[in-house]
Amino acid sequence: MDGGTLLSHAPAPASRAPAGLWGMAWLRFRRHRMALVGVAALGAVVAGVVLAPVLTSYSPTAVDPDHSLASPSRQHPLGTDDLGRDEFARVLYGGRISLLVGVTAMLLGSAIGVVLGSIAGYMGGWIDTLVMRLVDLVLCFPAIFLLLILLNWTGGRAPVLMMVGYLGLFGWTGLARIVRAEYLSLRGREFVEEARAVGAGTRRIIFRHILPNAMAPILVQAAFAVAAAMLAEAALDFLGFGLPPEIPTWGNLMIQAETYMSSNPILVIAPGAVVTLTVVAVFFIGDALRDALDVRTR
Amino acid sequence: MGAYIARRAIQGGALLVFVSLVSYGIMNLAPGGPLAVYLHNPQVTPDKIELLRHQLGLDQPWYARYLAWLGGLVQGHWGYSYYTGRSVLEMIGERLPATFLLMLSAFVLALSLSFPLGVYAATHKYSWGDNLLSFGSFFAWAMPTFWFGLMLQLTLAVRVPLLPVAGMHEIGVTTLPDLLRHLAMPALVLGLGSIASWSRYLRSSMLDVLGQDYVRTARAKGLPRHRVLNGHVLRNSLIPIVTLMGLDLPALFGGAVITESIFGWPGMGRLFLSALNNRDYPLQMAGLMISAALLIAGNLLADLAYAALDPRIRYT
Repeated sequence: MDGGTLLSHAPAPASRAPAGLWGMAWLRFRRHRMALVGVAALGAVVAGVVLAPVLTSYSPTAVDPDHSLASPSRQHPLGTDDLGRDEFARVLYGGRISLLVGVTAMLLGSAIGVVLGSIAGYMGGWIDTLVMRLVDLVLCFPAIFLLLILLNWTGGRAPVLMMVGYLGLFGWTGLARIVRAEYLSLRGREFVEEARAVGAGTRRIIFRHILPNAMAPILVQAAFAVAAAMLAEAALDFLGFGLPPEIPTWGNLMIQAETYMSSNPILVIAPGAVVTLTVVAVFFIGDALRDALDVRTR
Repeated sequence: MGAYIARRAIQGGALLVFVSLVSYGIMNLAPGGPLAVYLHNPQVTPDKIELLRHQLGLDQPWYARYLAWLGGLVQGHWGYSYYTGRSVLEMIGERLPATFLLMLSAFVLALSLSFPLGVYAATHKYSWGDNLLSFGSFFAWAMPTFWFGLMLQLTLAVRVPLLPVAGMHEIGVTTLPDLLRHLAMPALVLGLGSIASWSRYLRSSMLDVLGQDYVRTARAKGLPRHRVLNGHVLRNSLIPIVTLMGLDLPALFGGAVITESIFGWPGMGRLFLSALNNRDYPLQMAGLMISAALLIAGNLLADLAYAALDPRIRYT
């Protein structure tokens, strides 16, 4: 039996769920030791990023030419970069942007994917055909090349917003397919007929009745989408088409330190290690979620 | 089968035209344009800019230019670079072999590493080796590609000078060992994602097949272990992997952009990046079209290989 069956009577995740299904999912999740390590690691990264002002007294952008390219020391745990900016502060504050871009791009992509996928799956017919052809079309565009062109075009104005927008616009297709498939199997269930019989409108059925039952694959996919968006943003930074150099992001920290890699390798190692740690943590969590929520592996 | 290929090829062609139309539109609606570099140059008078604009055809509406471009593309004229004035086809012809060599090396490397790893993991399920491999593939997916490349450079070229930091060959040297030494790191960086995903997919696909009745039958009739694995299990496990390989083809091309920038590899990817910086539309379009064509061809190849490997699947 698939995840849909298992969860077909689960209430919305936000409401006061009786321990039952989500509690059982938590029990299964806990069995994955690596996932718990992932939760701890991600928690540490998020805490470090949020508590940046507490953890360091340095500003990520304060230039100090007298102490440029300093080696790690008590004052500067990760040393300083070529302009004498404290690398530890830059990694912490840079994480704010990188995590923000990853999470918001995921939210945007998921919103598009859920709305289009659920409507396509529930309505069927020509709407379904239209949405699925749109998915095929988007997948035909070589994403990285088009992203580079778009970023090159709009670079300058509201760069973070643009980045999130583009990553979201290219990142909804997988979820749309998954949600559609889920709706196709759920729309014939008794609880949907029941809702229709008592006079619930189409929109209410799609988003209030079916959506909570399709949450499991959406959550799993969302975890991987955050990771993908963060990696994409870092790669675009590296190619010089990402966020402008004055914004500290994990990607920008690495590209700016590349020149000094042989003399101050920590400047490249540290931000990359934090990206890897964050993404691995998200992967472990996503993997365990897939198992705990009993989502079929693709 | 022939009719199926023909239909898919026609669909692919139509998709390419659509992709090119949208991309051309986006590119040409961008403010600035290729002449922006000259606007602040006091040596270039407004008259000259007008003349250039006319010569490059930029005074015509974008859809007229698009049709002219598309007509040329079909006849094998890919236009001239706005920046160097040279034929786009010629410039790409110089760079494409290096990119294809890199892609091929990454592909071969991924193939020769992922198969033994996948088979080992499947036959030693949940052993420490299998666990280590699954841990390793999560890391391979999680590392930013360019960071992995920089770390390789740092360890294998800077700290321990085993391999050259960048480039395709030493100046004046064109021997095969020299080329292979230069290829090693870029090929590994480009192929790492494929190594991880192919070996993981092969593992799970083999585990599925190992549970099948016909495998039990083969074992029961006393076939040696290696014949069961090679003849019965591996062949049937290949089907999903081959699909994955087809889908990875365009990813390798996209990844080449990053890999080439790290290692100063003289390929298409870097040419495309400089075309972006120079607003060199004809060159940008050429790069886009090649990658879109690879994407469509990769999908078609995956479907065809699927049918070739699995007699249960027949396209009509």
